[in-house]
Amino acid sequence: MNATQTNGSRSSWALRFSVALYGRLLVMYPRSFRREYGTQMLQVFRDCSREAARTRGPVGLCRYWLVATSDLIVSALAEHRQEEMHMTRSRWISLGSLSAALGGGIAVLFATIQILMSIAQLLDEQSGIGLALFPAHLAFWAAPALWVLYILALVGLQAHGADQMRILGWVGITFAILGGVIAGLGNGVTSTVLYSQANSCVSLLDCNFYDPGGYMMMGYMVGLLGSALFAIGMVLYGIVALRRRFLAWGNWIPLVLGLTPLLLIAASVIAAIASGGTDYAGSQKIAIVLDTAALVPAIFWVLLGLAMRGNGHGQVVMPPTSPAPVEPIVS
Amino acid sequence: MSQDQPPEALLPLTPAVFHILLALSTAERHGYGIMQEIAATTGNQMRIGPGTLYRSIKQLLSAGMITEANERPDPEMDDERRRYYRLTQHGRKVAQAEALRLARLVRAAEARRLLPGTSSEPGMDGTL
Repeated sequence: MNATQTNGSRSSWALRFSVALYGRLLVMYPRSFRREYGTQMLQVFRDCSREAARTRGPVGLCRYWLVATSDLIVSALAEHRQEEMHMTRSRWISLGSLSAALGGGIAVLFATIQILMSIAQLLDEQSGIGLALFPAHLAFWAAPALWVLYILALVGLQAHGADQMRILGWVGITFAILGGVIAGLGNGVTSTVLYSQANSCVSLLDCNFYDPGGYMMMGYMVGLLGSALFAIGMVLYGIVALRRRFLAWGNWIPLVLGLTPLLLIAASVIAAIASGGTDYAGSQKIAIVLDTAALVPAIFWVLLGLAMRGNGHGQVVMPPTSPAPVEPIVS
Repeated sequence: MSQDQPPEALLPLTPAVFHILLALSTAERHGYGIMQEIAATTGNQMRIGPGTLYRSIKQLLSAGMITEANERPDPEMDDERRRYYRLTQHGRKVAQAEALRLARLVRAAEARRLLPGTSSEPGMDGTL
């Protein structure tokens, strides 16, 4: 056996060993990534190390190993981090989507029942006020619980657009979440007072509450402040969503959802103006107006929940701008 | 989804991603082919490892900038386990937008006499 043959066989052995070792080291990548790209990576490594060994011999192979090892460590860590982040985000998006659809669905149900009850009583006064008040109680009680679901939905929405939101989007969604928390607390206080004294109502708009501490009014005002913050936040976020389009469809929904409190305010103003000296039928008509105004945002929450599911059931599309290690080599 | 976004919204691209898009702008290539093209384009100044290459490919595939090619250039001449990738229309637009962004940067550097041959300072024009 001459020297060239010996060198060739050594080089071939080193190459085979290198490929086998690199194949073992691929275990450092997450399983899903390895399953998808492991064979391809091994093939590329084989081609590159063969080329390095052919052109520069064992030194070239060693140099390539340095490049490949640093690449392996950095990219495996980055892939693990990304996968973990992806999983966490996917879970939040799924939870947010479900919360929006569930919260919106419950609100749609309550609002619809109340509208139907009001219509029924408008047509027949003797249909029974107690029956009409039942869903109203439920709605009052459910309002803070709905805000909990809506806040979860907003967190999911934040996770959905986290890559592309920019500063205005972050400010918007933070305002919206903060507004949701404040509105939930305010509504909680109001609901507690209302629910504990609901028997004092003779009709939906004719109640004699005992509230010397003014808790109900305070809760109402805090709720209004929260709703206003939520509205401002959602409008800001909605503008960014329209520009950046990070939902698969319905990027207009957050903006419209942010504008719906205006509808509620308008309905409340109409109710306040019309309620003075109104008769029984009039109060039912006002109730229908208020419940219809409440039905609209509920529908948009459901739509938002569906839109958040749009990107492949909560799958996150990572932008290509996330850091990928690159090794510039000056030869 | 990223494909619905304007190309400018995805900028700046990482060097690895931009080089992969550049490599695929002229032909469909497999992983090693992409690496060879990058090495040729940069005169061996830049080399990316298999991990970086396939992480970037994964991201580009999910963003709809590249796609797996169904047909092989020459099945008989090639290892059938290799996967070929090609640039999508969206990927081409993003690459163009990035190229334009870089061109603007180069023009800005030129205007500030930062490029060799554009400076009046000694040693900055490529000569000593």
